[in-house]
Amino acid sequence: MGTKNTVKKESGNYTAWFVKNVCAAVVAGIFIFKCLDTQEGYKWVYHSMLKGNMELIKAHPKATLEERNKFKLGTDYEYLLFVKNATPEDAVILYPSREDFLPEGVNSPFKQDIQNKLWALRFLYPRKLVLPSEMETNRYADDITHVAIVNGRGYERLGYEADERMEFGILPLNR
Amino acid sequence: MVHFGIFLTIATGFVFVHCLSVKFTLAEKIGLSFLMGMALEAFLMLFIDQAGIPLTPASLLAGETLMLAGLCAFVYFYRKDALESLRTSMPLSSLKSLNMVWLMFIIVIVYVEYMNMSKCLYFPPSDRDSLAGFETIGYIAAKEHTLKGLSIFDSTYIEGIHGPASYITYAPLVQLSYAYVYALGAGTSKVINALMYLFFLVAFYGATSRAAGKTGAAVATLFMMLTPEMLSFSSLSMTNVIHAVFASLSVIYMALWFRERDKKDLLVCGALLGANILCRTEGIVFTGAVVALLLVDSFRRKEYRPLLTVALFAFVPLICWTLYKKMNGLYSESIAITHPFWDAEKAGNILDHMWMLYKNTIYYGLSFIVFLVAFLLNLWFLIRKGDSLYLLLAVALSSAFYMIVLYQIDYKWDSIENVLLYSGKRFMFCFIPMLWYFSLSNHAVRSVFMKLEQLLLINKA
Repeated sequence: MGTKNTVKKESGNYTAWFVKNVCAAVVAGIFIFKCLDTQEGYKWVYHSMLKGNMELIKAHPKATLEERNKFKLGTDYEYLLFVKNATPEDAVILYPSREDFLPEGVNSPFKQDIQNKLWALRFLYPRKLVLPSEMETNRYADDITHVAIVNGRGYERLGYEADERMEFGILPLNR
Repeated sequence: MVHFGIFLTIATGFVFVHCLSVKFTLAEKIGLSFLMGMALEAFLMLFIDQAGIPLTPASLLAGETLMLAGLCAFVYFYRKDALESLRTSMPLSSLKSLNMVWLMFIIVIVYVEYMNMSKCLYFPPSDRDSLAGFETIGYIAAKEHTLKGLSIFDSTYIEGIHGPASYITYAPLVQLSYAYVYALGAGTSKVINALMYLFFLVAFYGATSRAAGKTGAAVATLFMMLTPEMLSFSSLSMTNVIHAVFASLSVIYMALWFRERDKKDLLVCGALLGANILCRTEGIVFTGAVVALLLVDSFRRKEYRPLLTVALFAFVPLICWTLYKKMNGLYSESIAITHPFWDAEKAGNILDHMWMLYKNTIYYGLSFIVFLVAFLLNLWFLIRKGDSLYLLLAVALSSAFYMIVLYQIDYKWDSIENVLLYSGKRFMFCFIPMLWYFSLSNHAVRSVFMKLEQLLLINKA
């Protein structure tokens, strides 16, 4: 009889513990998700940033590193990838200036960042880059092998007249 | 090879934590392992580079293996109870004290971190500041097997490399961490950012649970990690969140030392402060705050060993980095105004921007609001018993030091508005974990959570 009562009491204890814990956990859960749904900052970070990116990841689970770079960096990366694939590793490239990338009054596909030499080097290394403004100072200015063309600009830096003109490209300095 | 390198880093950090003390909780040991391991590896890379040894996979792994062997030998001879401590710090024994509220928060933490880590690892580095700085330096350092002799540090190749605020003098921990994984064959450096944040969460939870209890620590960890701007930057390649990891934990361990006066916390505090300064130079404000508080405490107690311990750990990396820069000609035009001056407009501008940041709930969620409420709730205990006094002083002092640093800068490479809007905003990340630690560990709130834990205990039902 005594053992039965103890077992009953213990199971009653566990039931009370379980009910209290479940109730508290439900309250905690409601609190958390209320915060995530109502506070502007948490709402953005949870619903837009985290969930939005997860949707993109799930839609392209096997994307290569190059494709993932394209997702984030768009045309800037595509152009640098093109330059990288079209030049040998020891190339010295006459790299476009800011005005070439973002000419006034022209709707350029590029963003601000690509004009930064170090930024571009992350994708073009070990190629060397020389800016048009550095022709007098850059130690590689005399070793230029290629000229980068953007927005149809840069042809005047070639050592010859190009047969046909393109908007974007990379050409050898001399024929 | 990169997996092996990461494993070695974690093992080195784990053993290093045991060298400091075996008495940490398992969560602290695991959490601190990667953080300390990476800091030690980056510090070692400076010496390897200075010795003229190329930073190749062979030298990096050999160096780290030797360091690990040395640390293991130290543990073997001086920490004989290390294995026993591992057995006793296993969480199985404390499972009974857990409850479903704790479990609910832990599940959400794991879920959010899963999404954050997936994002971090999936997308390659893309933010402008890293690609035009840390990320590219790390990438090229791995290719050229050096930091001091980088081709991009050559002023005849990169114009303005010695100009104001140039990347040539950026503190090296993050760049060298990236160089480490790139040298070992990683496709992107994001594994560093992903692991830093993951291990930080575990370390923060471990440290906070000692002062706030398990449930309070879970609450603090979730809301700290959810801080919108900080979470979004945790998956980018910038230095700010990694810096916040070291800076905030160092202050939290200082607070734990003042609470328990156990030497182990002081040692970790010092080591984290050292790493903090190798992350970002302005980390000096946290070193300054902690050292100032320890100085006051030392005078009061006539006991100077704690101060010297922290100063040794905190300043040796800074001295080494300064010497390394001097010896290798890594310098840039100074941006510091070294004489005292008064510019009311500049001071007002800084204060206005900081106030704007404190009030910004889009960037920092409920962090500052909850902190304020917790501060008011605990005011009585603060006044009567000095509860959390040193932590609050560290927050206030480091904030004040940061504003002084901002004031003493000559903004000749960028506008003060830009620096306040972008750098200032991200610098606040350092304070977020401290605020959440305080909010859940102060006497008033802790009492409430302890009662809740008692209520939900299995043997109290």
